[in-house]
Amino acid sequence: MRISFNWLSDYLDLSGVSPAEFAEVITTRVAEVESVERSGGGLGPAHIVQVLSVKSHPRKQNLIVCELSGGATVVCGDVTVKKGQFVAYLPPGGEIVAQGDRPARKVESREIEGVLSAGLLVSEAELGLSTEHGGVLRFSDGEATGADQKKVVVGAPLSSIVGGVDTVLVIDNKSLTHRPDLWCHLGFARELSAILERPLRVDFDRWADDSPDGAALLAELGLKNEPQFQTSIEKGAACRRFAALQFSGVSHCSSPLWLRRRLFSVGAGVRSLLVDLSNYVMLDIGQPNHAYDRAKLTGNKISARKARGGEPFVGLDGVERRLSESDMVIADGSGAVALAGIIGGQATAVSETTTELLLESANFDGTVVRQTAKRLALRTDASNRFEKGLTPYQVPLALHRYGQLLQQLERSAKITAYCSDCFVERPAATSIAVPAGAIFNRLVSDSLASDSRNSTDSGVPGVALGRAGEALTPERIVAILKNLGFSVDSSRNGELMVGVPYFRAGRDVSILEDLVEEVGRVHGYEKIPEAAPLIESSVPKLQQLKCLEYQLGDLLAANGFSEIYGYSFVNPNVSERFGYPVLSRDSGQQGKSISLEPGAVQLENPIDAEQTHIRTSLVPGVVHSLVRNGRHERSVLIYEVGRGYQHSPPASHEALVLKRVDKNAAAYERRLLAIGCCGACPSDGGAPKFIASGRNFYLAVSVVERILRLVSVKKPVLVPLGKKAAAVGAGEFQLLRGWMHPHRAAQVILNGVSLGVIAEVRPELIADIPERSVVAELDLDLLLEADSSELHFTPLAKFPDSLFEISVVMPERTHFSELSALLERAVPEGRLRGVELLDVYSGKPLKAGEKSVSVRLAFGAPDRTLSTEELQLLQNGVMNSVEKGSYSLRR
Amino acid sequence: MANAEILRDEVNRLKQEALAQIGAAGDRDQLDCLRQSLLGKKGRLTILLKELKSVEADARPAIGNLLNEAKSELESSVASKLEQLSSEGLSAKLEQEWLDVTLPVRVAPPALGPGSLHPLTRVQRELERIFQGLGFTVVDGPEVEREYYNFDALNIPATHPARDMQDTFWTTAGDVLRTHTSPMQVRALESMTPPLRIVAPGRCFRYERIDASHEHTFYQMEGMMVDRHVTVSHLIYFMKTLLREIFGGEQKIRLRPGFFPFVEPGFELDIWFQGRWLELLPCGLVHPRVLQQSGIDPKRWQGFAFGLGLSRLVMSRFQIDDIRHLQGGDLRFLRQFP
Repeated sequence: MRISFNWLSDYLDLSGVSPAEFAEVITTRVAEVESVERSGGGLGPAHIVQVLSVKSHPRKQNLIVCELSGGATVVCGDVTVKKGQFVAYLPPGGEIVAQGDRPARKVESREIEGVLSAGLLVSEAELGLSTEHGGVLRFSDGEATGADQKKVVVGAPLSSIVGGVDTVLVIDNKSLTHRPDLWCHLGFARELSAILERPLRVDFDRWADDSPDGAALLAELGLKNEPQFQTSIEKGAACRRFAALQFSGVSHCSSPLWLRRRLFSVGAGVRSLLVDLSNYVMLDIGQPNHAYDRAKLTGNKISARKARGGEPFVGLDGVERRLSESDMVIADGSGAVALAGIIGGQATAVSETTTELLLESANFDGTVVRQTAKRLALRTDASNRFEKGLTPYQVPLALHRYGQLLQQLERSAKITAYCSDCFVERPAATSIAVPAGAIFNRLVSDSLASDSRNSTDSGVPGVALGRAGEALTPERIVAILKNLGFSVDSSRNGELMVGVPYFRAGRDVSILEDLVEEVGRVHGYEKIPEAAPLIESSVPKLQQLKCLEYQLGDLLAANGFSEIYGYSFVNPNVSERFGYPVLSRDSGQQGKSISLEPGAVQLENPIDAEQTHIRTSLVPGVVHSLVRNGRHERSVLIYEVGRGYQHSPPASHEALVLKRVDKNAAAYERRLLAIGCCGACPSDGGAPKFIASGRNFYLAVSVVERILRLVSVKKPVLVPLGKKAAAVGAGEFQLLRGWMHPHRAAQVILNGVSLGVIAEVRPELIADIPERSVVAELDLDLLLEADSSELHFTPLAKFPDSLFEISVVMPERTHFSELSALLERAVPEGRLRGVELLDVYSGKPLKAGEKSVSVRLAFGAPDRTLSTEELQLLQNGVMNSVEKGSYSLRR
Repeated sequence: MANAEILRDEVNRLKQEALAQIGAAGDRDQLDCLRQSLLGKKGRLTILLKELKSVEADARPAIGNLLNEAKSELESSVASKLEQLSSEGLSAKLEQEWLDVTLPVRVAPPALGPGSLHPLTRVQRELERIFQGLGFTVVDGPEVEREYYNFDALNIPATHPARDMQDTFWTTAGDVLRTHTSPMQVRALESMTPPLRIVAPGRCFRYERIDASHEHTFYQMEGMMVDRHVTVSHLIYFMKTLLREIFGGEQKIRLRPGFFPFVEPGFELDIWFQGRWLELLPCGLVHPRVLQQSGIDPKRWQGFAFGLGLSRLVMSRFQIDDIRHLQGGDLRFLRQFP
């Protein structure tokens, strides 16, 4: 939306307001200004001269030399300039505006091919009045001046005809969504009038039919009960009001220069007077309207109705569209002549031959207009306005204003026919009861009523808004509301009854808070002091998960991990390849312990044809990042805290998380931590062989154990994930997923709850990087649920433990957990106080397929030192157990 | 017998034989040899193809088809066998890599390595610290959100353009990816009782193509205070306090009208930054309809709310020139934030 300073100056006195202040006032009081433009920059010293003589240029055929009234001689490239013509002259010092790629430039006296040219004869485009390059701007032949009523006076400045240099504000349309009244100059004039406290010079509002004179003025205009030309609204048409006015004695001509310039300055196109006026009126008073060629309409009636399915319609843009029943049209005796609220029809458009026109002004439902405009991808200035929800009371304004301007510009034009005004739905007047002091009390804190020391920086220059720190008295509140067009009456108890003017009623202003905004912004928010509230002091609750996130972030960062933020979107094929199918599946073929796995959330409108689902796991993203970084980094340690979504909780999760499953949630949310490690570790050198082969895996285990210690002192158990699903704990992590190395994957179990997995990534998924990569993923919610036990102090051991080393030979693929379970069983409760791994060895003299595991056991008791006999008994028990199993002792 | 018949029989026989051989191939080399002998320049099928010339003209198209089909069948058979062999090879390799995942060994990460917190986390933590100091509770809510919380309960009517497909990600179940953190206002009003003060940081989504300055995934921090007699003065106080903390020292700010359906009056708060006004945070007094919708009497309770653009704050704080870095997961970027 573009707003012209000069245009607004028609409606109120803006003297003394600089362009910068103008922009500032609108920004801080009304709406967001995107940019400030200067329009008609060439107009400064430009004036009208008469050409006294024309000679051909002595050297150049395509140039002429003109002598002008006032004495100047200029060289001119427009050879159609003739003696006696009145033309636009820009003397030295004037400015030719920037056009396209060519920057603005100053006019100088200079020799052109040997002839001195003192200034230039200029075109409309060079002056910044339009894009018209068609030669020097002339005032003599009526063609350029069009319907200009002003007499051409030699020596008159051009600005006396077309207005001076203008300032145009480009307003952010989004900041006007809630203000249908601001889609025109009249709206901004009303605002400025209230803010600057300068009266409006015009009273267009008297035309609105809720004003005392409105009805009479309408009748005068020719909208009568027994019309010669009828408008009607068919049942079901989303039209609240439909009026039309017929003019005769009109003819095709171009608009006067001042009007074309105005339209140009606010970015509107220029066609012919009858069409331009329609646009002008919309930009002026905000009511879209449409001019039909009366002669091309069939019958004496037009009506608003629903379109018929498949009904063809050719718009002014020449495009034929097929309409649907959700669209709305204006139809005459022959069919659709306009797409209601959006665009007129080609067949009934005004043209060179038009002598009678029918002007339509109506009010359509914003939603219907928006949907049709959207469906047909046909958004117009009219549809943009209707979408916002215009008031039907402003319908007559367009008829009055168009008639007024047309009769000014073309004296032969007359209103000839009585037409009808079909008004089926009158919105009720809105009035708001405002308790005494209510507006003030929402803006300013009582304790600071008269204190404005702390007011924010005004930033607003003095001239326009003066009176910084002015108190918001009851009188001032009433004055602001009245200036904005509200009616204010006091009732007995000090309550104010505030009547909303017709142009603000509707969605815009309906409750007290809306009035608070009106008063606040016009008064100036910068005048409102800051104030600390008097409130009860309370200690904010810390969310457990938030604490955990802080702690584990610090822990991981301190240990060399970098935090990444991955996208929530996932390609279903990638997800599937990683073992997280996006479709819900029952993976219970292998036994009851494996639960139904709910599917991923799918997007209706993905941004990219491949990223169609919401991730259920962070693993694919973390692996992607490992690969990406692994190409140029030797070692990559990363982590992400993020969310995964599924349609519902996995069946086995349910019991654990039931209490936090939100019935109002759209999907089951899992807050996850994933860590990824790949690459070589500098401190790797001295590690024993049995560690080196799984170094990154054991690194991940160590990190995960450290993280678990943040919430629990219990030791986690790692259970291998293999082809056979282990029936330990709850949770769907028991699956060996597509991304996991079949012999290097384990689930992490704490206090019987499966919290997540640690696994090496299958090599084919990370083909680009040479190193082994390990990824772990933990469910943070389950982690917090897993152990709710309180910390308790255990008395320190008073008596020393006795150590016992033993080497056990066993099949190579025996898990250490089996050995430690065996040892636990072999020793009576409480006596085994520690098992420490010393070495894992395979090779000679062991047989192939065998390994020897050396451990150091600590025996002890809380109340005494164990006797030699007791120790011997324990040692024998251990050795017997080992040999009874399939293992043997290495002596 | 016509040439056509002979050739047809020969092709079929060759095909059967070759398929069996391919199926039986034990390794890559064997398969390679087999392919050469069938499909190579002097391969058996290639030779048969050359004999097509000798077939009667009227039978030629049919035999030609047969030959081409045989050729592509053998080619795809070779390809799938190759894939089978390599996946078998991989499986065999992985089979050799048994690791005792239960072994109680500890490997320390590289000491004092170049770890880092994401810049968004850093700024978010800083803001959480400030707001916790001011008595605000940090809360958290879902990214996949009900339409009700994202729009209806926030006084955004069904006809509002923000609900169009071009602005919002919709799920096939009719839910949305939250377009702002404002749904947390409603969730907090539902689950807590006033007086209350909350901030809710989080990930949001807008349907937008990605470039250096646009992201479909971005971060906001919602804030809300509900108490008795909350005024614009209070809002200004909290916002100025926040900015004093973030930027260190008094900041020049301005409030100007801004339209958001869930606040009334609504503001844009600008901060004077490097010689110009910078749009920083939209805010306002909580719209009475939002309170009402959640069962809170707007006559007894009022509130203010604001939304901080975390992504934007992070970008300007660290002079990050391309928003895509935030989600890019590139260590060269991340390690700059130790």
